Formats: sequence, C-alpha cells, structure tokens
Amino acid sequence: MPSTQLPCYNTVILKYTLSLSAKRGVSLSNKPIITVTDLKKHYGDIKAVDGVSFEVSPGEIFSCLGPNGAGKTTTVEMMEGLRTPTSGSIKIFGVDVTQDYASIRHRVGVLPQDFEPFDRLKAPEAIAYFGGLFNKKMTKQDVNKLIDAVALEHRTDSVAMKLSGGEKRRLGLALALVGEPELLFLDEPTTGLDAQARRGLWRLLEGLRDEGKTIFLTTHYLDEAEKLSDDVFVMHKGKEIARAPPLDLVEQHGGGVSILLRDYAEDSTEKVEAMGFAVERVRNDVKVNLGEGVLVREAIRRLDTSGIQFRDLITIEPTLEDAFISLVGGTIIGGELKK
Amino acid sequence: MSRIIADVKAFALQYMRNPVGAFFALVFPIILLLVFGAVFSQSESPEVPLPVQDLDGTDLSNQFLEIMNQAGTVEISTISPTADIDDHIRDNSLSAALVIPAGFEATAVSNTSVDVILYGDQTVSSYGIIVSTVGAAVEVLDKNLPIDNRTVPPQVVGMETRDIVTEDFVFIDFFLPGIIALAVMLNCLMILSAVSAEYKSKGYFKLLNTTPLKKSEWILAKFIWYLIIMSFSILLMLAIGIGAFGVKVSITPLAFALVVAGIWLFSSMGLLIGAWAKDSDSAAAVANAVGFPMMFLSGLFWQLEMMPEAVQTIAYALPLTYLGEGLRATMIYGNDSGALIDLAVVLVLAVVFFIAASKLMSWKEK
Ligand SMILES: Nc1ncnc2c1ncn2[C@@H]1O[C@H](COP(=O)(O)OP(=O)(O)OP(=O)(O)O)[C@@H](O)[C@H]1O
Ligand SMILES: [Mg+2]
Repeated sequence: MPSTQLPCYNTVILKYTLSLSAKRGVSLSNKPIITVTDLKKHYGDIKAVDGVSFEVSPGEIFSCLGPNGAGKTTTVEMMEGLRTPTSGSIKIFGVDVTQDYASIRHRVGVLPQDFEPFDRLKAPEAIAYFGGLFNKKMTKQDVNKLIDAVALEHRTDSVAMKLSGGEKRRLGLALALVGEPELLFLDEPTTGLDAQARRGLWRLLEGLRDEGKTIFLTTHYLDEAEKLSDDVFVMHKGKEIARAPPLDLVEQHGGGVSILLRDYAEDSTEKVEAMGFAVERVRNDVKVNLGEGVLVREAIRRLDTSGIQFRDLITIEPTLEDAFISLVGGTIIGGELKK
Repeated sequence: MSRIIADVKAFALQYMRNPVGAFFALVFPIILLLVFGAVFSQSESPEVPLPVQDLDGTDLSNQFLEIMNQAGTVEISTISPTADIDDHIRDNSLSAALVIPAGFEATAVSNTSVDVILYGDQTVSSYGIIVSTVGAAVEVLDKNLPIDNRTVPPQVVGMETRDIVTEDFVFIDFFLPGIIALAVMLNCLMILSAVSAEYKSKGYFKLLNTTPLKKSEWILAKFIWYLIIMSFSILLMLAIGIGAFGVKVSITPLAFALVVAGIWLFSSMGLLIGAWAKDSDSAAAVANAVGFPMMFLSGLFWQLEMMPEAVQTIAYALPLTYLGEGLRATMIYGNDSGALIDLAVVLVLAVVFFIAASKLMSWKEK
C-alpha cells in the first residue's frame, strides 16, 4: 500500500467521527453493554470455549487476547448470533442473544475473522449495498466519508477481488461501520496489516471509542491489546486467564521494573546479588530485577554508589508480554504460543 | 423492501460482472437460436419437401409426379397409400402434403373433372412455392391429356387446396419455447447453485447474517433478479427469432406464468444444490450432472413422441420436460388446457424444492 496515503488517515477519521457523534447523543451510563455468563461451546470433545464470564462497559475498547485456538472467534461469533452456545448466557443491550439477536442486529457492526468482501463489487458499491441492508439512505458523500475513514480512496475503481489483504480488511471495517453501530465486534481487525496500517487503524478505533462506540476486538498482538484497550480479557484453551485493564495486568503480573547495567564488568554479579536483587546476565549487560517494594530512585542510588563497574544504566518497564509470560508461561509469536 | 432492492442491485452488478452469468443469460440462448435457425433455414431451400400419397398408382399419376419432380422446386417423398392422411399429417407435423385420389387416371381419361388435393399451411413461407409448383404441374398434365373433345372447360385436371390448421408450426417455432425453457433452467439452476455455494464457502452468508437482511429477503431478491434478467433474455430471443427467422409464437399470460413458475422451480433447485454442496466446484458438478441430461432428455429440441419409450419415461420424470411442453403448448399450439396441467406440475415441484432449499440452507454455523 502506498505509504503516502496514510498520514491523512488520522485527520480524515476525525472528520468522519465528529460528524457521526454530532448526529447521535452519546450516553455514557456505566451499566454493562455486554454481560456474558459461564459461556460454553463444545464441539464433541473439543472445549472451544469452556465457561467464560465477563462484562463490557459502554464506550470502551475491550480486547480478547489469546493465541491461536484460544477460543476467541468461537466466543465472538456466539455473541454475534452466528453460533449457538452449548450453555451459558449472553446479554447485549439487555437482550438475550440466543433468543432474539434479530432485534439488536441493526445496532451492531461486525468484522468476521475470515471476512471476504463480495468479489465483484467495488468498495463504494459494497458500502452502498450495506447501507441499503441497514436501511440507511446513503449519499455519495456518506459513502466517500467511510471510504476515506479506512483510507481506501485510491482503490475505489477496483472490484474487491483485486484488493490486497490489508485493503480487504479495511473495506470489511468500513462495512461494519455502515450501520452506524453502537457496538462493534472486530475479530482480529489488524491481522495482515503492515505496521503503519495497524497504527492507522488503532487511531480510527480510538476515534470511534471517543465518540462513544463500544468496541469488542480479538487479537493475538500483545502490544495491540496493551496500547489500544481499556480492558483485556486473556483467554487460553477456552478459559479465562486474567481480566483487567492492561496496566493493571502489567502491574500485577509484569514482575516490576528492571534496571539494565550497560557494559557490565564480568566479576561483580555476586555484589549485586548481595544487595538483594535478582540478576540476569544479557551479553555484556546485566539485568537487575528490583522486585516488589523497591523504589527505582533508591535502587539507582545504591547501584551507582556501590563501586560496581558499568558504563550506564537504563530502566525497563514491564510490558503486557511480561505479564502474559508469567500468566500463561509463554509468549505469542505470529499467533502461536511459544514457550 | 429497501433491503430487497439493495440486494437485487448489488446482485445484478455481481451477476453481470461475472462472464459466466452474462453468457448464460444473454449469449448462449442467442447462439443456440442462431445455430438452429441457420440449420433450419438451410433445410428449407433449395427444395421444399412435399410428401405425396398416390392412391391411384397409374401411368397418369406417375406422369404427374414426374412433371413436379422436373420443376426442381419440391422434393417429393412418398406417403403409404394405406395411411390415413389426416392422422399422418398430424403425427408427423407436416406443413404440406399432396394426395392423388384413387381413380385419378380413369376419371380424367373419361373426360370428367378430377382434382388432386393439396394440404398446406398458408402461413408457412414455403407454401407459395408448393402451390405454384403443384398448380403448374396440374396445368401441364391437363394440356397433355389424351382426350379430344373436352366437355369440362376449362380444365379436366384441377387442384383443390385444403388448409392444415392444427400444428401449423415450423421447426424454429417449435424450437423457441424449448430455448426459453432451457435458458430459464441454465440460468437459475446452474448459476444459483454455484452462487449459493460460493456465498457459503466465502462466508458471505455469515456476513449477511450480521446485517438486518433476512434469508427470505435474500432469496426473494434472487427471484426478482431472475425475473428481470430472464425477461430481458426472453425478449431478446423473441426479437431475434421474429426478426431473423420469422418465428410465429403467441405470447400468452400462461407462457408468462410458466416462466415465473420455472424460475421459482429451478432457482429453488439451484439453492438446494448450493446449500447441500461443500463448495462451488462440487455444486457446479452436481448442477451439471442434473442439468445436462435434463437439457437433452426433456424433449426441448425434438418431440418426445419420436423418442424411444424408455427415454420418454425418463423425460416425464424430469421437471424441465413440463416447462418445455407447457411453453410449447401455449405458445405454439394454443393448447392452454394442456399448458395449465404442465404449469400445475411445475408449481408443485417448485413448492417442494423451495421448501427443501429453505430448510437446508443455513446462514448459521452449526
Ligand atoms: N466448527 C468447529 N468444529 C470443531 N472445532 C472447532 C470449530 N470451530 C472451532 N473449533 C475449535 O475450537 C478451538 C477454538 O477455535 P477458535 O477459532 O475460537 O480460536 P481462536 O482463538 O479464534 O484462534 P485464532 O487465533 O486461530 O483465530 C480450536 O481448537 C478449534 O479447532
Ligand atoms: Mg479466531
């Protein structure tokens, strides 16, 4: 994708989202929009989803994070009324989804994981088509706004089968937005996008959140869950591992701040250990884990005055990845769990 | 309603952008029409077939046949003297036949007037050639009669014409309703089975299921689209058939009803195959396995009565037979009561397949 298109991504989105929120009064009550209770989906012996419960508050970005096969798609598709749960309940806007999804369908936008746009429709045609399906009278301008919001204005003359993978996903996102939904379900919205396009999409999602939409997304990108979401639901083998705002997870499970001593002299590891710190050697550097209850400022003072030889020191904040490793015992690389 | 319109519009775009769709809807029927039209036109010239029943079998009748032969405009074939001429004309769908009555020679040489009898359909283009050929032959024969003083002026030998009114069609007329039935079958069954299998495998149904569009609305939109495209296709066929080949068919309300019922029936069959198949390739394979035998065994291109009995039995088990027969009955023979029965059969089958397709087609993952 031509990178020149992307810088305007942000401003265009703002224009689009502003015009939308002007139309709709944003109400932010704190009653959960989604309540999932003890949800299960079993395929024979496979327990794809095995008793998960959570709540999603209005106006937040809620990420369901997990490696391949964690049960994310199964969960989200049950919430979209596409699969029938084995047991448990899902309430969205107070409606029991298994009983009456039809009554809330027009308030929800969906981007499926395996989204394929209609091969022989051009992006503006597909958007106008969905406008008709959502009973929205869309002018050319309305269509163009959405096209701009997902930065596809340079691809309006191509039928969808000629679009790249990332462009298709962005078209899918535009289709999910056509009905001006209050709630968005996005199943791995950024998979297949390059780094720049991912950032652009994050900004778009933040813009949508800021105008009051609630976004439920699944991802296996740890940085995405950390940077983008207000709440993270860590899922593994169909079960909940943890559920909290990302910074809380990092704080609770990230293992605390470390200090990296650069170009550290070989022989003084014991000295650092003697000071009560956990030490890990990384090439010429040494990583000092401060552990609980130690102030960074105090630790730096002690290390600096200990006479130990090192060129410089850097503090390292724990990330969601650190929390994830301590929770699950591995990290996610390319969607796969790696020990 | 706006959802249905939106779906028809979007489907129309996709349909016409798919070369297969445009081909089956507009090109293929026209090619068939042109090919069969050309074949038919050639068989019409240079010599017009004229079956003759010679009930006299004398020198004079032979002489008469010889005169016609020499004219080179008609090709004479023989009808058995034992055949009942009316039955023979009807059974073989003849548009012309000539009968030389028994006692032809004896009557003529006894100086009493006698007529050969020409059966013909005045609306057929070759009728004029036959009348003038037979008329001229009659005159020549009359002049050369071995009689001296004539008592019956002006001619002893004459020609009597009788109209053939039933089954007054030529081959291309017979063929056109068949092509219409075929086009309906191909477009609805072949394409919709592939389309719905593709919608399933590519997750389009899943995607649509997240919108307010209902399954019933989607199906209805497909019927509406096929009504539009098939009307267009049929109008084109009629225009070319009439313009290029002088086809004579009547466009009756019953024909319209049959086309609508046919679209409903074959669309439902297509949806059923699509819902049942795993992907669009296997859907296409099944649709071909169902569609092609039907195309050749349903008597669209030839009369069922002319086929072996076993084939006829098979034909009456095929839905396309009833659409083709019904259309032919009302458009050519004006046999509306017969067409009504065919319409009833098509409608019953349509309901059955429609219910089966709606039941089997799922927009949800299991
Ligand atoms: N229709 C099905 N039939 C049988 N098993 C299934 C079905 N759908 C999902 N599963 C199984 O359920 C488990 C969870 O699958 P799911 O697609 O929900 O995972 P996911 O978290 O979305 O993974 P990914 O990151 O790869 O998309 C997997 O083991 C999968 O094989
Ligand atoms: Mg998934």
